[in-house]
Amino acid sequence: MPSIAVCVKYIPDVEQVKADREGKLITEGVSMRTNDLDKNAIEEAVKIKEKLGWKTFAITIGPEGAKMALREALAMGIDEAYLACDEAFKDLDTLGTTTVLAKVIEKAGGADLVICGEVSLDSFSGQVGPKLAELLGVPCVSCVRKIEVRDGELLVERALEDRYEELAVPLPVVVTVTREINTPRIPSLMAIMKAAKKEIKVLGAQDLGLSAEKLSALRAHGLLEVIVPPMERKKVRIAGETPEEIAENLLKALEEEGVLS
Amino acid sequence: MAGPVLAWSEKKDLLLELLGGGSSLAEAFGSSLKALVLAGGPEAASGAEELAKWADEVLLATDGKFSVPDSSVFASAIQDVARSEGADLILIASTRFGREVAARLSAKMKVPCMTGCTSIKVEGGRLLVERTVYAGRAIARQECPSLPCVLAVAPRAFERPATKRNGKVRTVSLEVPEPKLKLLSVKEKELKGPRLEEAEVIVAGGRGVERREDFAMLEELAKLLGGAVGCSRPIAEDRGWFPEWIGLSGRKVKPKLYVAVGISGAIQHVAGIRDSKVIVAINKDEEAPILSVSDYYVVGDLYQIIPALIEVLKRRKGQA
Repeated sequence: MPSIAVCVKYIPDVEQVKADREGKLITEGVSMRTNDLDKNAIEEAVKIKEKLGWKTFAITIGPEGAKMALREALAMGIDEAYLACDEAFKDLDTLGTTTVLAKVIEKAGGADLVICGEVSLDSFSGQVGPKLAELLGVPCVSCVRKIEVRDGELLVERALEDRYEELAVPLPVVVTVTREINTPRIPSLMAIMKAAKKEIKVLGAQDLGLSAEKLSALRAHGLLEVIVPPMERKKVRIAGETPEEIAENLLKALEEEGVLS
Repeated sequence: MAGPVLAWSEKKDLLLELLGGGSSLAEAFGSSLKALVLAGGPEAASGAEELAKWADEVLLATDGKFSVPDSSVFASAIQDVARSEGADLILIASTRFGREVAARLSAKMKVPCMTGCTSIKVEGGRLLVERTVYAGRAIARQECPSLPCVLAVAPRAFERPATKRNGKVRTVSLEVPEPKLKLLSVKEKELKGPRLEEAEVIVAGGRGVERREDFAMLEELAKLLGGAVGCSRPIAEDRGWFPEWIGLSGRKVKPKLYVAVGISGAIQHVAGIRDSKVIVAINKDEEAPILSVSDYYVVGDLYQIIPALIEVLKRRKGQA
């Protein structure tokens, strides 16, 4: 039976991150959630499973807490879940992360289709899908907004800046999906409770045959700092008794700003 | 000192931008600036001469395989050229396809890669990069840990070139793998080009605008204010009413006046309007995030406020 791997990431809620006094990003105390676009990836995998009976598994790399993203995937209908977790996986760059993810997929018996979100909202680099494709030696189609499986091939629609492309691609393949591809389901309480009891397979560096030496070469992201540029706005509420009065008041304010021609 | 700066993009105008920014990087590196054109046919190859004015050399490879948008084919070709030229810095325009090629190429070469770079500088022998992170909320400052490296540059991060280098076009032949993708059809979007990026006033509609025909109201308001109409991503990509949208993943705008009508204000949208001088929000939801990033806001029904604005503006202009 063909199988689908879905890569997910558990990230700080980007809506909640704040800056400290020096304008540096603070993520401590910010609640964590599954990357939005990864939920689209999960949903798409589950849809294919429901239609064609393919086996699905979700994978992630991170600390113990990242299991929450896998539990969500299981609750949404994914069959199995793998967490790559090891001290040696800390601070890997994207090539390091994808090296580990590729090993996990291999360990899980391989995948005919790998689905990732187009980007993770935190690091915002969009590299995991294509890099994974390179490491697995398979084609990649990123930014897909429609997927159809037909005669052992994948028919996809890719959304680029200036055009939509309809492409046919043989399996195995890696695709990354945009938020328009579907609306992720909200799992029922029953499904969430069932998912909480499911086994999550935890794999370390040794299980994946990754030496400390190999991994230490994959830690060179060169991050210096993350700053939050201030967005200082006046935030003046314009009120009035009637829509006309509101309109008058707003236009008066804009006139004073000198932005009306 | 270092190896050449090599620039490639599938878009000619963006390749020109890469040569603009690449020129000063090559200077700082004490190296040369080369552009790579991977053309699927003679039509795509045209323009290489023009590019050569702004580079020390343009390498031109023509092969039918480049007419298929398969990132593995492009990554393989760029790797060959980067290797034979000894390139130390590979610049690729960070379009959706360019980003895919950059990531793939760097995995092939086992070198560092950063995408969506908004600034690239050489300071004290260090290659410093700024990129957009946290969906546009924050900027990461990174140092490129080693050369060679692949940097995918956000469109419009670089200016078009100003210094002529008057190079020549050199035809190269590359061994590239067969594409695995098949391009079945292409639907071009009817883009209005830089219209939005240059507009002084923009009236943009979001999910609060219920019907497509209601945009006529926004058009009228925009016209009275001397501006253009835009929309948020869901209006373009989910409802398909417009080919393009304003936001980090669409057009980044910086008008004097931005009026957000029925737009909730997702981070990615806000990141695309951050440089506007004055932001006005009209929204019926008192909790809408757009209100807290606006200068002036109205909590109310856009179907009442917009007609009122039109009415008052018309009266002022002596048309009513």
